[in-house]
Amino acid sequence: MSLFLDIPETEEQIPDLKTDRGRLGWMSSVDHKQIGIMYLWLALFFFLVGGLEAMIIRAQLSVPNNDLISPEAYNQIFTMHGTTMIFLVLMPALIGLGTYLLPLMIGANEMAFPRLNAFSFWMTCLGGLLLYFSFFTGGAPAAGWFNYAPLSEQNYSSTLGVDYYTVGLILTGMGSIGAALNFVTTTLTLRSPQMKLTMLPLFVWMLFVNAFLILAAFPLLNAGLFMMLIDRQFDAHFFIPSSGGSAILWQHFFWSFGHPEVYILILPAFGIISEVIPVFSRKPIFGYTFVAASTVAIALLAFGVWIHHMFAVGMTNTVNGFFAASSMLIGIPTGIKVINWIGTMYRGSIRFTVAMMFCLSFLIDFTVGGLSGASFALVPIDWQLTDTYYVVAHIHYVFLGGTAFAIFAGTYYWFPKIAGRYLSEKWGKWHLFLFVIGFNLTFLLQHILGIIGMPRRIYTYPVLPGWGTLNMLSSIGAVFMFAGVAFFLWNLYTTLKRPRTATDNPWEAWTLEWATSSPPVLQNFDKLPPVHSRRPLWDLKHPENPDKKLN
Amino acid sequence: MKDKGKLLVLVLISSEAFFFIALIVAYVYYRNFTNATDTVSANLDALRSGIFTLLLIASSFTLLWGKKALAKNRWKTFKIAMGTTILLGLIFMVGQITEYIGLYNKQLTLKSDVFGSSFFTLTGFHGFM
Repeated sequence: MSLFLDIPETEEQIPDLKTDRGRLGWMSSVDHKQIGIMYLWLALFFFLVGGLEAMIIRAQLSVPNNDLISPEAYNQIFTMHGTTMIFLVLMPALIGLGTYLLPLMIGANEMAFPRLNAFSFWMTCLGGLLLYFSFFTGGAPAAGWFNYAPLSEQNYSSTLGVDYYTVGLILTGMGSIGAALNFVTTTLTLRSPQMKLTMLPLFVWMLFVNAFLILAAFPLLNAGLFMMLIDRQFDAHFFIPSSGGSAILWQHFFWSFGHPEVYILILPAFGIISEVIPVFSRKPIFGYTFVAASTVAIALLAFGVWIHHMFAVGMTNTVNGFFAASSMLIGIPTGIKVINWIGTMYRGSIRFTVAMMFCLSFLIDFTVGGLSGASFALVPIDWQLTDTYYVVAHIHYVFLGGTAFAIFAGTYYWFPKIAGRYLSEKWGKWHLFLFVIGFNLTFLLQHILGIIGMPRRIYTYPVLPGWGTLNMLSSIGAVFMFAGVAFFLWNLYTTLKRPRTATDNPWEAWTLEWATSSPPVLQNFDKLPPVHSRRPLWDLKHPENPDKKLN
Repeated sequence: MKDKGKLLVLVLISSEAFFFIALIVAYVYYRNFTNATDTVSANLDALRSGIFTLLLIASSFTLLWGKKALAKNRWKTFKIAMGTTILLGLIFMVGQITEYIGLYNKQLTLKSDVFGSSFFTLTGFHGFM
C-alpha cells in the first residue's frame, strides 16, 4: 500500500479579485472555499451594521429621559439589531466557516452539491439585502426580532417592514437549509475513504449534527412566516385573535424554531472550541466520545424545551413543569462539554495565542450565560425576570460571549489557512482585551438592571436610583467593544496588505485542512495523507508514537 | 449511502415534512384548541377528493415505471409513462381548482375565517409547490 491515495486533479489558485475576470470569477463561483470566504465577508459587513445599531441603542439608553432618536426609530433599530445579528451575522459566519472547512477537514475536494452551495449563499445575501431594503419603503420592521403577533399584524404594523422581515427571513432560511443539505450529504459521501464517522474532527461532527437541527427547525419558522405573510398581504386570520386566529400559535411556531436555533448557533461554536483548545493545549481532546455524544443529546433535547420562552403566557402547571424539567436537563450535556474542555487543558502545555484566549473567554462567559439560562428554566424566576434586561444580558452572554467569541477564536485560528497570512497577535490582543472587558462591563451590569426591574426594549426611563449609573457604565462598555472591533478591522486591513508568509501547518495542528497549502489551491488535495486515527497529521509526523488505530 | 443524489432528496423531503407538519398543526390547533367551529370541513366532498388523491398517488407509480424504462433505454415506454404521469398530475390540479371554485362560490375563502385561511394555505402549498 502506498503512503498516499492519489486523486487526479489539476492545480490552480483561487482567482484574484484584481485580475481581469476576478470579480466574475467570484460571483459565479461554485468553489466551497470562495463561497465560504464570501459568507464570512457578508457576516463581517452585517456585524458592523448590527454593531452600529447597538451603539445607537446604547447611546439612547445612556442617560435617563433621553430623546436622541425618536421612539419609532428606536423600535426599528432594536428589531433590526437582533434580527441582523442572529440571521445575518452568526448564521452566515458559522455556515461560512463550515462551508470553507468541512470539505478540507474530511479530505474532500468539493461540497457534494457545489451549485446548491452557491444558491445557499446568494439566497442568504438576497434575504439580508431585502431585510435592509425595508428602510427605504417607509420603515424597517419594529415588532422585535421574534415579531410577536398581533403587534406584527397589519392593524398595528402598517408599514411594509414586517413584510420585508418575513420575505427576508424566508430567503435566508432557504439558504440555511441548502447549506445544511450540503453538510449532511458531503459528510456522508465525500469523506476520505479511510475516515470512519467515529473519526470525524469534532467541528465537522457538530456541523453534521447541527445540519439536522437546521433541516427540522427552519421549515417550522418558514411555515410560520408564510402564514404571517398571508395574513398581512391576503387578509387571512392565522395569528389575529380578534377574528378567530391565535396569537399564541405564532409564539409556538416561533419558539419551536427559536429554541433549536439557539443550539444551531452554539453547536458549531462548540465545534470550533473543540478544535482550538486541544491544538493550543498540545493534547488530544479529553473524552472525544462524550463531547460527540453530548452533542447528539443537546440536538434531541433541543426540540423539547421551547415553552420555557412562553412561561409567562399562562400555560397549565403541568406543561410549565414538564418544560422546566426538560430545560434543566439541557444543562447536563452542556456541562459535560465544559468539563471536557477544562480536562483537555489540564496538564496541557498551553500556548496563549489570541485564538486560545478567546476560547478561555468563551469558557467563562458562556458558562455564565448557561447559568443565567438555567435560572430561566425555573418557572417562578422566569415569571419575575422575563422581558427584563436580565434576558438581554443572558442572550448576549450565550450569543456574544459564546458564539461570537468562538467565531473570533476560529477566525484567528484558521486565518493563516484561509488567507495565507497571520493576523497580528499584538493587535489581536488589543481586540481581545477591549472586547472582552467591554462585553462584561456592558452585559454583567444588565443582569442587575433586570433584577431591579428595567424592562427590555424600553425607549427611555425616568431618574431612578442606580438606573442612570448602571446604564451609563453599560454604554461605556459598548464603547470598549466598539474600539475592540476597530482594532480587529485594522488588524484585518494591515494583515491583508502584507505578502503571504503562512506555512502549511503553523499551529502544529492535526486535522486534514492543515495538510494543504495556505491558502489551498482551487482543488484542495492532489493526495491525501493516510487517515487511521482522529489526528492524521500527528500520526504522519510522529510515526514512532501514533494514536490508537481506529480503522 | 454512496448515492449522494438519493441521499439529498431523502433529507430534503424529510425537511419539507416539517414545513407541512407546521401547517397541519395550525389547523389542528384551531379545530381542537379554540372555540371556533370548523366551517370548511362540513363543505368538503371527501369521496371526490379521495378519488383525485388516488390519481395523484398513482402518478408516482407511473413516474417510477418511466424511470425504470429510461434506465433500460426503452424510449417509447418512457414517453407513455411520463405522459401518464403528467396527465394524472394535471387531473389532480383540475380537481383542486374546481374544488376551490366551488368553495369560493359558497363564500368560503382565504379571508372568510381562520379555517378558510388554514385550508387554502395548506392545500395550496401542497398542490402548487
